[in-house]
Amino acid sequence: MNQNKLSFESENLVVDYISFKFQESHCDQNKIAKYLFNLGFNSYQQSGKLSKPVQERMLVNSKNQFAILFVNDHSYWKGTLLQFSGLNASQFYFLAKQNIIDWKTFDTATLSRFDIYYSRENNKQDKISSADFLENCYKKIKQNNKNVTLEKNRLGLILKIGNRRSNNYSRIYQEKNSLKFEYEMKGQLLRKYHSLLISNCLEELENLMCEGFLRHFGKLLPLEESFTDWLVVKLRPLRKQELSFATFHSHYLEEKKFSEGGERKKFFMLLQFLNYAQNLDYERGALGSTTY
Amino acid sequence: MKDFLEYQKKSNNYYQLKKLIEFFDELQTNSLIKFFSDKEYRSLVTIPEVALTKGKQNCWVGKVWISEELFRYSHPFILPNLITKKLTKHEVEVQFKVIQVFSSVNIAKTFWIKDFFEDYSVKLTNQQKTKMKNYFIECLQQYKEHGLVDGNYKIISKGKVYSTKKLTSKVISEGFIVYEKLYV
Repeated sequence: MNQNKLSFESENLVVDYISFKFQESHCDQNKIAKYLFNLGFNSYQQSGKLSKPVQERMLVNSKNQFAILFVNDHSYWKGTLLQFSGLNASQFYFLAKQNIIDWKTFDTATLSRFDIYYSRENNKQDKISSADFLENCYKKIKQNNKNVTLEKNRLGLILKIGNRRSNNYSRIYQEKNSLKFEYEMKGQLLRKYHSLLISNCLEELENLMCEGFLRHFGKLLPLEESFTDWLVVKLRPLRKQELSFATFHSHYLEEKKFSEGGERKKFFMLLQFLNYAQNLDYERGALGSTTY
Repeated sequence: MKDFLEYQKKSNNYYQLKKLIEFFDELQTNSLIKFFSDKEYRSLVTIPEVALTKGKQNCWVGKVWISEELFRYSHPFILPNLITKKLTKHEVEVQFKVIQVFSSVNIAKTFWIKDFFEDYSVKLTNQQKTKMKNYFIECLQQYKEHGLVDGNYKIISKGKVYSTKKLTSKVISEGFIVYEKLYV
């Protein structure tokens, strides 16, 4: 059975951070700033050496709603980072999806970081608090992975999984009424995504990123908890179990009581029939806009 | 029709054929889609047309319109085909309950056995109840053998939950929990 393609929209994933790396003098900041200015982005720059960096204005107009940041003068690396954070990253990706970005402007750049997140609203039916959930996650992950910390900042608890410098780094943290599951991709992992991005193969890019995101958290987190209900629903169609002759497929069922016993037998027959029909020869036809 | 009966491991006799024709008639009315909770999926399993014709040598042929999308659909659940023998009325009820509870969102599948018997359509003897509890366990053993549930179970007793490695008809009287396995 073919897999249905996943997209950021279908999986409710949000692009939260994008950065590009330019080696040494390969970044024409003014040219890029001007180009992005016309697309609604103000430009700022700062030094990468300072512990408390100060942002300098480059090209700014109050009418522009978005912003980019150039980071130069790094301690151990000669080059420039171009950063899109939060809504700025979402907007840049939106423009890329609209085929508006001229990738020639970024031809000397490599994609260096791409973050996506899922926000899970707290629910009155949650059996435990989000703090207990994070504590349970911490204990489970700690069994096999030393690179996990549970910290508290002014906004709440934050669970950090992996090394920040590694290609896969993730965080789960409390927000006012939700938990945010954030996945940070870097380095080698982004090579393929970079070529898909600049060649506008975004359907493929989203499918791969969504699957990577879901499998990443699926392998790490305790799936029986209320706060991973969304993840379980998204992971089930991606499961690796193969359908053998002695099994068939089903979908989510109504929880209510059905009174007619005879109908239940027919329901079993429906499941069997749908499985049986998969292997039959068929002809194609259409009724309205639906193909059968 | 004969082929589908063979697939179901049912005899090719007049009674079974009649039942099958009834099923295909009902399929077209789409009354069975009410079992599914997902609205989009309901529209996908809607069958607009079924045509049954009697061919050569009294051979019945069914032509069913099935949405093309359904053939590519990534279903959330895999279930073992346990309907390969003639089931008793009570076994049908247990099987349905198992499928119904298993096809739910949570990884933890809670079977409220006491409530199941209290809501049952007829009054059951203790012997019948024990037999049905054993059938619950037998069904879930099959799920385990297909790698669909974990080997760690929990039983519910006086509202509290206890871990166990083995389910028996004695310990599941109030209820029990099994955990779906997801290979990701």
